[in-house]
Amino acid sequence: MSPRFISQAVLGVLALSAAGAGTAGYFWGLPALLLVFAGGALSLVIVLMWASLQQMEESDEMEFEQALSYAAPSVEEEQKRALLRTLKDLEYELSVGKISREDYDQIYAEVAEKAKRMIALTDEAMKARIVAAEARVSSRLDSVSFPPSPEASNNAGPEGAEPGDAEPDSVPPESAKPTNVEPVNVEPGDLPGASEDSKEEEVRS
Amino acid sequence: MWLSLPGFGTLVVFSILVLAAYTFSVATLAARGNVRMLASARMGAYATSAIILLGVLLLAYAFVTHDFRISYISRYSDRSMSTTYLFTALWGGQDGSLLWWTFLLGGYTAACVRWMKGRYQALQPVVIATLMTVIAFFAILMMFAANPFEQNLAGAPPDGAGLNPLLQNYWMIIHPPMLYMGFVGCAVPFSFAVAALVTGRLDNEWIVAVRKWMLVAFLFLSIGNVLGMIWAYEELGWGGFWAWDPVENAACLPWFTAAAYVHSTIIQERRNMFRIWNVVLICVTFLLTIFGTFLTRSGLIASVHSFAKSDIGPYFLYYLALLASAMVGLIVWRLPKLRGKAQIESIISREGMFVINNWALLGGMSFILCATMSPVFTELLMDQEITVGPPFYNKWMAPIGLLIFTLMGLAPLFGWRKTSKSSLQAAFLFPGIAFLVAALLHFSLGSRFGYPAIVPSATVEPGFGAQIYGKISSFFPGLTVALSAMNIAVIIQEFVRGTKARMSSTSKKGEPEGALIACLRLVQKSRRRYGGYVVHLGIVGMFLGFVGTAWTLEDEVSLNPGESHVISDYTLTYDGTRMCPGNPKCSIEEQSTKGVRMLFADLTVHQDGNFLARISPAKFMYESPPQTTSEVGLLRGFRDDLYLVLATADPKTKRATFTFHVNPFVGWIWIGLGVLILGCFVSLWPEVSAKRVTAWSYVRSGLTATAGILMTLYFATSLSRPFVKTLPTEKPLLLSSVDPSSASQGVSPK
Repeated sequence: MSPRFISQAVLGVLALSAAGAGTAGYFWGLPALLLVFAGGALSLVIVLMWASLQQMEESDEMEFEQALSYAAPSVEEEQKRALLRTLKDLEYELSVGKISREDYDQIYAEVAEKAKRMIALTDEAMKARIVAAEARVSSRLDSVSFPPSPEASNNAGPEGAEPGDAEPDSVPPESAKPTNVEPVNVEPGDLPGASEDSKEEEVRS
Repeated sequence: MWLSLPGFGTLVVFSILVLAAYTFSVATLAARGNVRMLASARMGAYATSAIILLGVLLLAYAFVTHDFRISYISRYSDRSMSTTYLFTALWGGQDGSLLWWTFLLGGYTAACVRWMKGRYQALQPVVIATLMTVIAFFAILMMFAANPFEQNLAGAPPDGAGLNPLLQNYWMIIHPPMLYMGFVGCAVPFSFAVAALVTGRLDNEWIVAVRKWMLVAFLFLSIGNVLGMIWAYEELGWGGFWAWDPVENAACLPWFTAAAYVHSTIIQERRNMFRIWNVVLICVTFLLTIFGTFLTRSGLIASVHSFAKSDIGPYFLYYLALLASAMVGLIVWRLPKLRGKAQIESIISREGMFVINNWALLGGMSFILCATMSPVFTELLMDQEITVGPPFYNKWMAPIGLLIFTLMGLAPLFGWRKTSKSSLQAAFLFPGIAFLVAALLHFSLGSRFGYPAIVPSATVEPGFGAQIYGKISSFFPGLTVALSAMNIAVIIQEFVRGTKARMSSTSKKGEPEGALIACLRLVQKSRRRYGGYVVHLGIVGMFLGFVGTAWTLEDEVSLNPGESHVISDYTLTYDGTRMCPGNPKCSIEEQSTKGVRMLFADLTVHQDGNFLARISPAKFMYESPPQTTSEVGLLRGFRDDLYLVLATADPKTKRATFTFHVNPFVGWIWIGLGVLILGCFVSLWPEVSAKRVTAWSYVRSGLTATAGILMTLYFATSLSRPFVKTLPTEKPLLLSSVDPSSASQGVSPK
């Protein structure tokens, strides 16, 4: 049972309950409205419990959001962000005159030094994670074979042509892509800690 | 058995426990990293929330259909009650209120599970499991001690006993749900704290996650407590809004710790300090919500709010003990990881101020807790119950409140880590001047307007110390006004300095901004910081309302029809009484009221010779349950409220005795609440990129802002319904037409 089907079923139950309750309330009054809503709630319980039991038996494929959440920041990453936030705060406090220039210079240098160390640590950890992720992606791509589309067959060229002969920038056609993957637009601002990115670049430099 | 509504309802209550237990088990398995189990647990959590909703809908159905087979329905409703109050009765009694508590927790659980989708993968299973244990506890309570669907053993009575008339008030419709929202909301941060401790992920991840949930709980606790004040003010008829009743105290205890946490979490985020402290604050806040629920329901301490004495107290006590020991165990287990390396470098820093503020808030909470529990403690230790009253609380909470108020103003003036002398001088200049100017103006001109800066306090306690304290406390009104001016100056200064800094930085980048745009973008960029300042502004409004009690005027007089009385600059002329329904002078609404006889005493109010309003305080005599209540006559204003209570009225001579109150600045408490709500919304507003802002977002934000402003204005200026009627057609009554012999002057500072 796919997550999309479950959410559609839940939405369906909610919509039916609302429509039914509205109709019942209009014709037979408040008690009928409440009763139909109660019926809707009971149906919801049944659908959700069914979904819960089904989820246990489904394949272990992750949703995109679940996979993304595994990239949750490490302790070092958190500390790095805290330090970068401190630097931004220091700048703000200097700009509004809450801290003297001497104190600012001293504390800024101290915190920036710590931040640099933390950035180096996270970069090192990130390298290992990128290598591991790339290995997993390539093994996954190797295990998935995209069926050739009619278009691709038509353009296959002369007999005996090898897959490697195709244009290097060609991409699998739309029909060949897995259908249960929702397009997700991830913008820089969506990712945690995006607001500290500019400060990180500054500290790096 | 299950085919009847009571039977089916009981089955639903049992099912809540079954589903919560199922979800708990699946979530526990998911904690080992099983993604499928986590997805299953999420569905289980939704299902648990849905079945609680089913329970509430069934109980609501039973109320509107007057199903008196159910004991709870027959005890808290009758056939004459309006539909609105039938819904209010859902949380009017103990059994229903427990179901309502569980229902709100189900709502929070569903919202939290939805919000966690795709994030906090490691914490999620334990968060869900913890929330399920809380739901399970309430399900057990309902199953074994307070089943809202329990049947009347003697069969269904022809009519119910009805809801307590004191609860049949507009504010009681929204006050308990708001307070419960605050109480229940603390369960989410608690669950995250447990999850962080269990999983060992004690970095800043969970702190960031919890921040907004705690702010939501803080917001609802504030709203709930202030709505409770409004209800007490309008309904109880003693002229005040806070009587330090044990249940009121229990409701405000978690507010103190939540406020402390909202501040100390910033230190953890910025400096990675106070990890243990923050965990402790979250746990204590949640424990206090359970303790408050226990205090209300156990009958341990006598209170006007208490539900009937019942046997559910021990359940709460065991649960509290279990929670406390589990939390202590978890914290001790994780102590090595919780200890931070960072230290406070200087007490003259923002974090230093926050620490003192935290201790002051915790001190306030501890004082109220100990004073509330004093009957229990003294009985245990001295074998006699000693109860402390409002004067005791007022005496000691005033300095604690002023300390918190002072620190609230001072903290923003300090920078993180350390603050140099020159920076401090620059930061303190404007607020310091504001403080001094306000103090001077108040001391020199206050008495002329009836608000003296020094109000001698009536110290009856013997001893040199008590006398000295009495002298010091007489300066508190003047000090509060000066501190209010300082706080406002600090907030203005913060906005101005921030705006200037932004204008300077944008003009350096070649994209200059005007002052208004710079200010708005500043708030947009740092919502939490500036939303917090707006919350502080709301607190200033509330403090002005609190200090107004120092200048309250109170007078008790007996008047014959036609006689007048002067209090402050109001002249009140007593016109006579009328009994409704039945009297031709009664309005259509009053004539059609059933189940209650209402004795109104009509008074015409003039101010400076101009007609202001007609106020009608009343006595309501309810048939079911047979009870008489005093309904106050209230004329709200920004400067003061005119508050009238009908004490007695002779039906033959029509001579009536009234208590008149002039309560200065009370409206500012409600205005302060409106500002606090606005500040919380600014802090809570999610950060969205401009590209994602749709037309609906604009509509939503516009409606929120409009609703907030309208509510604030309503709180502050509305006339109390339905007992105040303005008569625009009446000709202004000149003061000279009032018989001087019948007008008595009564001005006595309380």
